[in-house]
Amino acid sequence: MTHPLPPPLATWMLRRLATGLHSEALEGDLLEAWHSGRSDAWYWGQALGALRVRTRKALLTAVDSEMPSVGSIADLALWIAFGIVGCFQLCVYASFFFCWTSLSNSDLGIFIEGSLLGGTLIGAVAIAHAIRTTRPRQPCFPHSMPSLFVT
Amino acid sequence: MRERDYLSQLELMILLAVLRIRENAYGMSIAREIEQRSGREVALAGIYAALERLEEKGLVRSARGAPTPERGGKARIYFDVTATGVKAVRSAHATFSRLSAGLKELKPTTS
Repeated sequence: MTHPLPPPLATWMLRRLATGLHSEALEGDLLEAWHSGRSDAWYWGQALGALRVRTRKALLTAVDSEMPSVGSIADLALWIAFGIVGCFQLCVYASFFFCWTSLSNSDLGIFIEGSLLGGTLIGAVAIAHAIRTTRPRQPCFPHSMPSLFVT
Repeated sequence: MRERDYLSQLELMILLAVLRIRENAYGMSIAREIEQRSGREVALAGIYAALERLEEKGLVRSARGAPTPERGGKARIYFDVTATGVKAVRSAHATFSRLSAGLKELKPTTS
């Protein structure tokens, strides 16, 4: 008997990101919950949650460790690269979308350069914020309940 | 990663959830228990990451269940709180009780 499958891209993401001791159990739990009626959106939310947990773990390992491992540095570098490239692309696409019809070629060139610079700044601020907020956590108290995903 | 000698809020919630569920405590049932009791959605990956930390500290132990077809042939991992884990929960609970004792802000309001 074949069972229907949850969103394949989300499953692929989970397999790539969940590298812990119990990653197989995590995948099985999500599949079981999806089969028992959880939505595709919920499944995607959990896959994105895994991305958030993995990124946080990589940042904590790289920032907190006195002797960061090659793997953790590579992880951090990868996410920083993703952040910068993502911001570049977003700004370039936005400038093309809003200004394509009203700009000459030279104006467009200046606009793209400006977007790249802006993207770099946004990326740098986002990364600095990410590193600052992943510094050692405070002891827990009941009033400090985070909003959506508790980690 | 830096070792912490105190329990995070999620770690404490997980230990309490495992103690409540007892013999059927695996990732999804722990997440469900926390969601029902706290009203907040939790990322299952975050729960497993915290369980791994707790296991490293010796506060929980795990046992592998049987794989099933609806889980894509993947086994459940069942968790149980160790004696050290119970001691850590008691200690955290006592700390909260001492800190909150006598606070007028925490007394139930009559409306």
